[in-house]
Amino acid sequence: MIERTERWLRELFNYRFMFRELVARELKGRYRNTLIGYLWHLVNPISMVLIFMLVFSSVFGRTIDDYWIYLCSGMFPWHLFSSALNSGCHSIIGNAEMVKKMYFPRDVLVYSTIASSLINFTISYIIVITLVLLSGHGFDILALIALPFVVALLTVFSTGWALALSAATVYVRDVAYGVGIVTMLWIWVTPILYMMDSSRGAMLEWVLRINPLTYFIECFHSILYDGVLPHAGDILVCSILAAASFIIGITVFKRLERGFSERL
Amino acid sequence: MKEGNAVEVRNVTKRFNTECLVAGPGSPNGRRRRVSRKRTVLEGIDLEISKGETFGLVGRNGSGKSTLLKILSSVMYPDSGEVEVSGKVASVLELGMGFHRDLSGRENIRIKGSMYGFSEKEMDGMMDEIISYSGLEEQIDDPVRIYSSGMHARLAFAVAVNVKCDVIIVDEILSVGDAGFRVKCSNSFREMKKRGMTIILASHSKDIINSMCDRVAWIDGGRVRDIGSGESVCYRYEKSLTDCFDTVAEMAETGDPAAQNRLGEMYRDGSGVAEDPGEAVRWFRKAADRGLPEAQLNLADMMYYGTGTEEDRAGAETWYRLSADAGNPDAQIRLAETGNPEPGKDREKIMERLRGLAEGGCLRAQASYADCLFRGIGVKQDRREAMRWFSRAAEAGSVSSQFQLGLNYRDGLGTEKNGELAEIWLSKAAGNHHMRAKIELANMFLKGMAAERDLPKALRWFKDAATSGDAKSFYQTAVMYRDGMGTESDPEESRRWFDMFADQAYLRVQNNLADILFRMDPSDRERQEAADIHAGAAGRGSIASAYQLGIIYRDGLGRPRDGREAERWLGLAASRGHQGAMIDLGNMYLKGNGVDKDEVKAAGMFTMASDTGNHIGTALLGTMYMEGLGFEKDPVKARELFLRSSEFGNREALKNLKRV
Repeated sequence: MIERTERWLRELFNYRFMFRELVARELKGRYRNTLIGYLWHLVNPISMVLIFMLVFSSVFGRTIDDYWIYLCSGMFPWHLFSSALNSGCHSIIGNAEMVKKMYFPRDVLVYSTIASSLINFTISYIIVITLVLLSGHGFDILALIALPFVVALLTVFSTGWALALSAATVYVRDVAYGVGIVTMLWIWVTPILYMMDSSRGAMLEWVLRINPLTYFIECFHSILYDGVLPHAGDILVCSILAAASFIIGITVFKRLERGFSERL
Repeated sequence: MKEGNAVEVRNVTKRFNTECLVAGPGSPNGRRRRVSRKRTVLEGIDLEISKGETFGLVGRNGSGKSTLLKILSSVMYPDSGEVEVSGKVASVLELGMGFHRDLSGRENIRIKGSMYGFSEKEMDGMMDEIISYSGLEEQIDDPVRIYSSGMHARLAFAVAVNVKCDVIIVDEILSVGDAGFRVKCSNSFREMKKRGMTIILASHSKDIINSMCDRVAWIDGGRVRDIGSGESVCYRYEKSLTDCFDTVAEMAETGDPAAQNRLGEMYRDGSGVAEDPGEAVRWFRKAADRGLPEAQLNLADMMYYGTGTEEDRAGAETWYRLSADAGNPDAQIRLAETGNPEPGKDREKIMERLRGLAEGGCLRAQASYADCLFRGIGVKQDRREAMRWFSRAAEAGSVSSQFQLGLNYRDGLGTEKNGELAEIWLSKAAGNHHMRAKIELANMFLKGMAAERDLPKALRWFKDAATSGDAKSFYQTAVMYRDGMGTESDPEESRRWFDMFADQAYLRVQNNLADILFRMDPSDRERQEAADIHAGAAGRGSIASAYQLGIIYRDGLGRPRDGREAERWLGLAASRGHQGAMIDLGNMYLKGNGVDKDEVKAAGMFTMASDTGNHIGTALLGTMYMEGLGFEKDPVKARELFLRSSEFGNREALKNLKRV
């Protein structure tokens, strides 16, 4: 077991250049031949923020102070997670030609899609933080230091999911379509668009409590919106979730990996 | 893994799951159900490939070659069994190669290299080399989507060749790309080989496999059917393609004229399928329509000898003409016969007579009649009957029939293949100084045709053929010593044979030159020159030149007449099996022409010629017995000799036969 893990890590290290090339390809290649190029990566989450702001403030009326900050602080991490799931599903079947014709550690493909999502997230989040700073909303610099740690936990958590789903998609293509629908619904049972309080009924609260993503999003909220360090309890739960997700994900992936090339 | 091995495959089995929707029982539009089938692609494959070896895979489409290569490159995993590969592997599997269409060639090289697990630094170091190797300097910064398929292959191959790895696996890359690229590929394979890399390649091209591979495995139906040297495996593989009814039928359906003709022959001869003249004609006609001369001949034969109606005969003539015009010698013969105003009668009369003579025991008639039957000249082709006559003539001592008989046993023409009989008869012909018999025997053992491969025997026969003057056999012998085939590898001995080969080739040129000089009504100086050339060649072992030089001294052509010299050179040529020299020297002794008259010596020469199957020698020996020269007078013996010689059509013997 230890020996296998060591071999796996050593091989991944050897393929670091491939990882970098794939990330560069993902970032440069996808929107090549478009007018605004890289900016398309940011258009998606920003337009979502704008739409929800419009809908929520005009239809439901303003209920949350500085709603846009609340929305942004949760929406971008959510987008990191959902894009990791969605593009993760396609990371193996979308590179079928490569997988069928050459040997390399297959999980590099998954990591590279996650990494490009992470880079997009980082850039957009820096913009958000800058805006928050300028807005005079006020926050704690100490809380901000915890941010990279929380981002790392969310990334590891997402990677676990992406690994499992990417491998499952090779065997059952329907998974990719299912994931699209599930993520669409998922956002509504996560405290991103609304705040988490007990006024919405016990049922929803229960759902929110068992939704693992709630704990991550709440961490982001407390750092950026509330300007305080996240609860130690939340961090602990997130750490456990991230570790469990990754271990399960990589195990499933390694188990299914051997049958990839004949099923593509 | 054993030391020195680059690849070990042990009992590897691979099955594919194929799922498809199948119409349920009842109407085809009924409910369809999902059916999962397991298809076995590889079964119990065992291979060992040593370091530095170039290993080839041949086999039909779908035989499992590509799957095996994928398993070796770790792209796929076997269901059971083990695969071990030592060192870094680079593979070029199929086309397309997973390039990113919108990125440039240069960027794709980087990605590709990264996929082999190289670092950026290593890749930058190799970049220029790869680009210049690919020959795509001008397009390297264009997106790959505008590349042609040949350019894709170049790029993929350039990367694989130039990255530093220990094992390279290539699947059918050489069939794409132009001739220039192919040459480049071959060169780099050679280069890689020199560097000690292990190369594993699959190809449908026999030339490529033959010229590059140390060993070849023939994969058939997911198993290793045969493994060995390129030449022998390819030979058997190709042979199976032309012997297997299903394969031939399949190829014929796709419209390959050669296969159609072969299929027609199978239907005609009932080999591998029930005899069916109708089908035979149908397939011959298809191939004939596409202009294959052999098929035109076969079709015409079927029409001519088949029904025998006026209409068909006229039709046959048209096909004979077409085939003859395309240069088929047998068709030309048939056409000449059918062109006869009374073709049937005359031809039949001649054949009848030939047959009569053959039955009467005339060797030459037997051999000739067998040949006619075998090739269908003037009589309906009947290879089995031909074999019967070849056997008779061969047993009675006809060397050419011995050779033909052995050849037919070897190749299974008109008979079952029989390696033992093939060897017996070819050896007999070879023992009678039949040069081609020696060469064919050597080939038979080299390639394992009809018999087990036997390299020591092949080597022995090649050496035999070489020492009796066959230049190609010198070369083959040298190669066998070099590669340690049938003997210990012996570079020095190999060198010696290569030198002799070069010598032989040069001697032949000399011989030709001298011949030309003699033929064109030479001046004295030219004669002298020709004589000098022969003298030089003879001194270096050319038997033909030794003979010529003997004649030159005997007749004083370009050299002063010199009986002693003539005797010396003719004797040398005779001792090396030159029959002309035996007879000429015998005659010199007999007549005291330039040497002391010596009937015993003359008789010795004629005996030698006669023993090696020369009918002139036999006739002359008969005369010696008849006249009591060198021997006691012995009319019985003389008669016997004349009889034997006359059977080969010797007129002198025939005349003397009446006198005895």
